[in-house]
This record gives sequence, C-alpha cells and structure tokens, in this order.
Amino acid sequence: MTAPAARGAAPAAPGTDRRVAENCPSPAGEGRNSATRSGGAARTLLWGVGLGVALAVSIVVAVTIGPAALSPADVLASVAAHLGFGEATLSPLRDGIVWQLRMPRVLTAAAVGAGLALCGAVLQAVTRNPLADPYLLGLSSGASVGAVVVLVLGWSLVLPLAAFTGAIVALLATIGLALGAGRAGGAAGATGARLSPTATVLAGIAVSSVFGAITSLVIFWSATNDSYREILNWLLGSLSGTDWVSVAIAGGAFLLVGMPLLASARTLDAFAVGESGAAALGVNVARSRVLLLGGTALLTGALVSVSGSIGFVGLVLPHAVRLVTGPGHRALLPLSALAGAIFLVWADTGARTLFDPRELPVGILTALIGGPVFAWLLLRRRSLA
Amino acid sequence: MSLDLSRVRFDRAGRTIIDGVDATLPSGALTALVGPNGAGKSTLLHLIAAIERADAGELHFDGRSVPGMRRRDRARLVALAEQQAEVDPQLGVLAAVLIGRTPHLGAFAAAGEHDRAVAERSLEAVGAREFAARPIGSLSGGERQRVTLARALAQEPELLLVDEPTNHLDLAAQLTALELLAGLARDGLTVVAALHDLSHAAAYADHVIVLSAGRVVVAGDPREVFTAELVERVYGVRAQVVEHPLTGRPLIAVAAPAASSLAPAAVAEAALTETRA
Repeated sequence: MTAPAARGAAPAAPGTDRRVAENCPSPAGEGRNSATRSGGAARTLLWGVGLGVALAVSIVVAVTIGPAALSPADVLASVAAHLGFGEATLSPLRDGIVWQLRMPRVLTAAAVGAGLALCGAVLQAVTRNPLADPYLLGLSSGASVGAVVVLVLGWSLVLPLAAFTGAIVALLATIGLALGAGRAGGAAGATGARLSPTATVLAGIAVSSVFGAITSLVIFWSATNDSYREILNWLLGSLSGTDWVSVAIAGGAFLLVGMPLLASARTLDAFAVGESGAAALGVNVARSRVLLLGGTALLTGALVSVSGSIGFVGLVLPHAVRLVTGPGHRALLPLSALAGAIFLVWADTGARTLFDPRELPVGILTALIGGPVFAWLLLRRRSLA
Repeated sequence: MSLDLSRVRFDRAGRTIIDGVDATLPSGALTALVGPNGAGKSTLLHLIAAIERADAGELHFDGRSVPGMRRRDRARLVALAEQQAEVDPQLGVLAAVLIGRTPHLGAFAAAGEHDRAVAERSLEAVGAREFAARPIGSLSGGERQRVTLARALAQEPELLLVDEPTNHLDLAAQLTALELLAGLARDGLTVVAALHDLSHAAAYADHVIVLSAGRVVVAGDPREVFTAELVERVYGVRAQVVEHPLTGRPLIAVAAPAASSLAPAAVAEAALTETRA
C-alpha cells in the first residue's frame, strides 16, 4: 500500500472545487445510461397506462358477470345514461342490476383493493418490514372491532371513525408488543429498540387474534339470526351488500388519504436507508412516521368499515409490482394501487360467482393467493438477509 | 472556516453521554475521532449531523449554527455515512446512491439527469462504479461501505461525517477506505471519521480528537497527540509509540497490561479520574 504521501501538504485551498471527483465518467457510458434511464421512466408510465386501461376494462367486464346475462355494451349504455350522456336503453330491471347492484360493488372492490395495496406498500416502507400488511399487522382486525361495536350500538354515522380508532389501537398494540418483544429478546442495541420484522408479524398475529375474537363475541352476543355468516364476513372480508354509500366511503377515503400517501414517495424512499440515514437526508423521521402510519390506519379503517378485513391484498400486490418496477416508491405506490384495484375486482367477482348462488367471503380467495406469497417471502428473506 | 463545538452536552436516560465537548475541527481536513468503546464517538457524530439534539452547547460550521438550520439546508451541508446502516437489500446500488439526492429534490420532482450524473460521479469517486447495477444485498461488506460513502457524497456536502469506515474490512480495504477519505479532504471536503485503530488515525488524519467518557482528553496533530502515556491512560493498555518503518508516521504498539486481567473501561475511568483530580 502506498504511504499517505505528504499529508502535511496543505488541504486544497477553499474555493477550489470541493465537489467530488470531477473526472467524469466517459461520454459513452453516459449515453448508454441515459438511454436506460428514460427507458425506466417510460416503462413505468407504460405500465401505469396499461394497468389503468386494464382496470377500466375489468370494471366493465366484471359488471357483466353474474346470474343475469349482460353485455359490455349494456353496461356502458347504463353508465352513460346515469351520467347524463344519453337516453336510457335498458329495461329498468337490467338497468337496476347494473347501476344499483353490480356497479357499486365492483367500484367498492376497486377502491378497497387500491387502498389496501397502497397501505401495504406504505407500511412495508415505514416499518422497514417486507411482511407488513394492514391485515397481518392487526389493523384490519382492530378496524373490524371498531366497526362492529358501533353497528351494534346503532351509531352507523361514526362507522369510519370507529373503524379508524380500532385500527390505530391495534397498530399501537402491535408496534408496542413488537418493541417489547425486541427488548425482551435482547435484540435491541445500545441505540434503542427497533422493530424486527419477525417480532412485528408475531405481534400482529397476537393482536389480530384478540381483536378477531372480540369481533366474533360482539356479533354473537348481539345478532339474532345468521351471526355465523356475519362473523365470517367481518373476519374474512366480504363485499356483499355494498351500495353507493360504500363507494363514497371507500372512494372518498382513497381520495382524501390515499392521494397524500401517494405523494410521500420521496420520504418512503429515504426510509430505505434506515432511520438515522433518513434523518441525515433531511427527513423529519418522527413526524413522517406518525403521519404515514396514521394515514394507513385511517385509510384501512374506512375500507374495513365497508368490506370487513380482507387479507393479503396489501402484501401480495406491492411485492408483485416490485418485481417489475424495483423498490422506488414513485412507481411502486401508484402501480400497486392500480394492481390492487384490478386484483380485488376479479377476486370479488370470483367470490360472488364461483359457488353461485352461495357467496364466498372474498378474503378466502385473497388468502388462498396471499398465503403462498407470504411463505415465499419468508423463504426469500432468509436467502437475502 | 472550521467546525466549532462549544460546551456540547448530551444526556440520555439520565446518563451524560457527551459531557461538555469543546473542539475546533479544521475544514478541508480529515479529523479522526478516537477513543474507547462508549466514549461517545458515534453520539458526537449524530450531534454534529443534528440527528440528535444536544442538551446544551453550540455547533457551528463555517459560522452557521448546524442545529439551527432547516432540515433540508442542513442535509445539503452535512452528510453522515454510518456503516451499520441497514439498507433494503433489494435496492440497487445506483438507486441507493440516488437516495442521497433527497435534500436536493422537490417533493414531487423525479431525480433528473444532473442527479444521476452526481450519483454516478460519487460511485466513481469511491471506486464502486462497476457494481452500480447490483442489488445492495449481493455486495460484500467492503463494497457496501463504499456505496454508503457514495450516498453521502451524492448529497454534495461540505462536511462529511463517517462512523468507523474500516469496520469489518480486510487490511487492504481498510487502507483504501482511509486513502479515499484523506483524498476527499485534500480536495477540500471537511471529513470527520470515528476510528478505532490509533495507527490509522496517526497515519491519515490531519487532526485528532481523543474522546473518553464523553470528554475531550486531548486534541491536535496526531504526531504530538499520540504518546505512550496518553494511550495507556485512556485505554488502560501498555503502549509504545514508534516510527512506522514504511511511512514514518507514528505507529502505536499496544499490549495487555502486565499481570492484570484486562478491564479497559474500569482502568480508563480510574486513570481519567486521576488526571482530573
């Protein structure tokens, strides 16, 4: 190794270029990289447009599927008539099936899917835990308890608020438990406790078990007729019985809370380099974390209040999208939301038609897909850690 | 132009971690922060970066109060490279370095051509250009440290703080890392590195601050600071300072204290109390 030659020989005078290594990369390399660069951005845009079109087509086609046969043209005609772009051409009965039954349900599915996928992506970044998901961390179960309690009490006006409160309580319980477990396990270093992914998921299981049990107890205690069905719908999630009010709640929550979350990509990217790393980049870590976690709890609460706790959407879709886009959140967040919307539209269509006339809670289908993905993530984490 | 610390104190959980540090660190130079484990080296770096707030005292860089700045302005001025930083293993190297551009970007703007150029130049500067396309998870310890440093450089800071840059590196990689930091300082960057190896500090640093139990024991030119007496007092080991046969810089040879089971913290503390008394 060379000696640190003449270190005494004065540092460069102030005013000389203090920027790093001005000996630039070769022009050839520069050109090649700028090609792949714009390619990356264009690819994201292309995926965005593609998924947007796929979502629109999925919504129309999903509305045509069901016991009463309808064509995409019927759906479009009904929508156009209701939006004031033409005369009603369908019979009132068929129009009612499109506009009063299926369209609100499909749109609710889209909004819930988009919101849950977005929440999953945000939670994964903020908790720095690839296994994070509103369902696995107990937020959905907490929101269910809040929702069920106010429904039993007959205060349905505060339904989303109660679901939000439940989600926040569950989130705090999960994080507190995970931190406590980390401390008890001695995993915490001198710099304080940190959330280990495993401890967080275990804590989430404990919290969702308890909240799930409370949901079941409350329904069983209060309901008179088909309490089992209702319990299943809350625990596994179901979109049966959704109407335009559900669309307004889920869609409104997505616009009010989801949109600001979509705009947090830069902060979420910075979280990837650790907490003090993000702080050194000028991120207000404490405030961002509270706002982002609060936002996911608020959005999850609103969604769960219309759909019950549908699992794994927030886990599966962000990981699927990441395989295509990589971990950057500017692409990941909007594409996850779009993919989540498409995913849940089709999952719910399956749930209401596979065993027609009986209906399956949609969470059964999402778990059927999400469980194996969760297992795959567990195995892959080991190989990457 | 310098980094000035004045009576900086920091307490955590009822314990004083940094106990009234006064120091002037020359700009455009490499300052080594040395001292036993728990002396407060990392904490002091966090305080300078204002990631943690000092309970008392002032920190000025170039006459400007560092904790008093807006976060974003500060992140354009001060960068911190921490080696234990847990970065998402799936993140690509170039993407990880681009995150260093955060303080230069608006909330909605994408990283542009200029940001990419800076990120690539930073990778070039640390000799990491060839693995720009690989995921962080596939890098060796030494490669990862270089990427961490590149991210800090992508912030285009005037003050670079580095925590234990030679940790977990093999011999050649340790020297490469130190050469790099010394080179950056020669180019005008103010570099502060927390180091464990006193001979490294003696060989590469322009200025040394010896920290023990949250206090500055001594600061100055490494050739004057490192004496056998100081090392024995601060670390509780036997020491001798000789001339490095290859470089001519001070080489600090150490050995366990004779006929004593080594209890460095206790010994160091006792020694310090003695000198203070």
